[in-house]
Amino acid sequence: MASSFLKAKSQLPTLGVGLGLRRELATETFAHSSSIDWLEIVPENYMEIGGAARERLDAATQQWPIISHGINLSIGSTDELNTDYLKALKVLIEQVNIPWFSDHLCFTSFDGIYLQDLLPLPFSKEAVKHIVERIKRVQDFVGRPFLIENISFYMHMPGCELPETEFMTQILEEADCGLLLDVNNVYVNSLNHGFDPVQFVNQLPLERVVQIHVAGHKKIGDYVIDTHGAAVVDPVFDLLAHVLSKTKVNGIMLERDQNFPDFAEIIAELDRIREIASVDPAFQQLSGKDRKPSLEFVESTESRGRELRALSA
Amino acid sequence: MPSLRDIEKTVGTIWIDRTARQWLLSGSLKKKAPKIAEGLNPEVLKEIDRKGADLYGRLINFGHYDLLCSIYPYCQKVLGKDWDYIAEKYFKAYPSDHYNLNKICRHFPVFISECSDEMEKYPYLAELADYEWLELEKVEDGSKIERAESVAIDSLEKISIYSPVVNQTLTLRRYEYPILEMTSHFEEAKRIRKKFAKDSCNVVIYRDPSTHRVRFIELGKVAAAVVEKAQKDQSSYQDLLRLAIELNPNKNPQDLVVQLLELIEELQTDTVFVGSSKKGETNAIE
Repeated sequence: MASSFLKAKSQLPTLGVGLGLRRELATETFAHSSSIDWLEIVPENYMEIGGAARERLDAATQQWPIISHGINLSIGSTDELNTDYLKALKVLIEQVNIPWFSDHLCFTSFDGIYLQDLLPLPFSKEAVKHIVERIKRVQDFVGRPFLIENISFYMHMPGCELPETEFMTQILEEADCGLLLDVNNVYVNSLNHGFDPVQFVNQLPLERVVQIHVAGHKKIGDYVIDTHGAAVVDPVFDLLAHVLSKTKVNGIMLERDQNFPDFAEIIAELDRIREIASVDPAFQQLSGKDRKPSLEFVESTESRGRELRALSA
Repeated sequence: MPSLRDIEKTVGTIWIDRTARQWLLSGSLKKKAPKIAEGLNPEVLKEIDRKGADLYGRLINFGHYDLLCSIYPYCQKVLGKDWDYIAEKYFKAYPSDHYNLNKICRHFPVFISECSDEMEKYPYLAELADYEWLELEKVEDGSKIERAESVAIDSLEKISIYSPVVNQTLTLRRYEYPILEMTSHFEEAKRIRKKFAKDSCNVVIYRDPSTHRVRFIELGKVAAAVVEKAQKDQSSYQDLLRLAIELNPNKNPQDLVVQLLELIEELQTDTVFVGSSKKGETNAIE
């Protein structure tokens, strides 16, 4: 059977090199809009939320294409899909006119308790069947192309029957959805669990990759942790180059969520990603796009609470 | 082979519950299980990577405590070294039940009011927690603040036909303790005072439509009654004036009119009121 997802992918726009819209980085992000092609948001930070956050999103929507990357869909959970969540997500996606949306191949809740973290699944046949059915329902309900992201994880769950790549491939093909490939997560997992990251990505259906995440990590004790709080290392850039030599993608995004450096360092990383991505003529055309810095950026005024972040720990 | 549900419930419980985790990490599953671990799947428990489970457990707990602390920094200052204990107790009593990260902390004021020890030592703590929660709630409030027409209330006709439009994010609280004085103290003092005498106050809490900052303003008894009535029903300025006269039977009504008009102007400037509308109409301009 022909994949309707691959047909949909061929019609998606190529967005270029993007950054996450984070309240701590918002002022600098708006001031450097000519260096950023698109923004990714964590929808939970904007769903049914007003004030400064909403104004910031509205201002960003005027400047950039926006992509939604959720945390709490909890696609692998055995709880019922949260219809309140899905309705609010759909409203946001339609308001902002988001071309595709994504979440993580994990579970974040059980028995109605949200752990607010990306938790690994057993790579089992039962999980494949369960998740495939849920992805189809989510994709039908929202009505836009859906991508699932590989997470970094620090323990194998009991009940694993399949290699991770086989688990992912079965889900992607049977659910007929896209892959958000996080090359840093692959690299972090390769260090923690001892495998070859290049061989790993080669075993994935790379034609389904629509978007790539690039990030930094940190060694803490015996584990390498996906912190999104450090500079991207060369092997991760190399893995990005390898994937781009094998497939065309529509967007690459730098994740930086904590331990924020001088913004010039972030721009330099975006430029390096852009250089690597320039093997694709569609990315070359986007480079140097004449986007003027915004004069009406929205300063963060939130002093309480936290933004939800796509960290796996 | 255990089901996906058994695996998620068993591992998830070990991750979020410190007592269950310590029991697993103690090495022998033959020891009596804590109550929370009694129904967990033994096959899954045997297979769990204990070191990994400990890492996830600690990171999840840290994330929860850090979040609670970011929303209730003054409560944390008051509770000092008892903070972690209270935070753990809170998440046991009110498990994280919402996909919005900050909302999982919304029950904390109720939880504090249910903690008899802390309420005895710090009887103002539930009010302080309520105040801190309201700041976040107003920051995130999804209501769009609809400004209405700006009308100078300078004639008897206008007083009778116009009503103030109350900021849609506004909440009025009557606290038993001097909450604004306490929070200024926690903000500025190097050594925290933890005893406060009762001294009731009326506070309006709302989001400024221009800056998006949350504002807290203490109101006197009459001003609070005026705002409360304006919020409850679409009272005309004349109705509000009648209320002010009823509450001040011994004052000269002419002086009261002048004072009320001054108060209304201040409330408009402070965006407690966001314009005026003709009684019975909603005429938002934004």
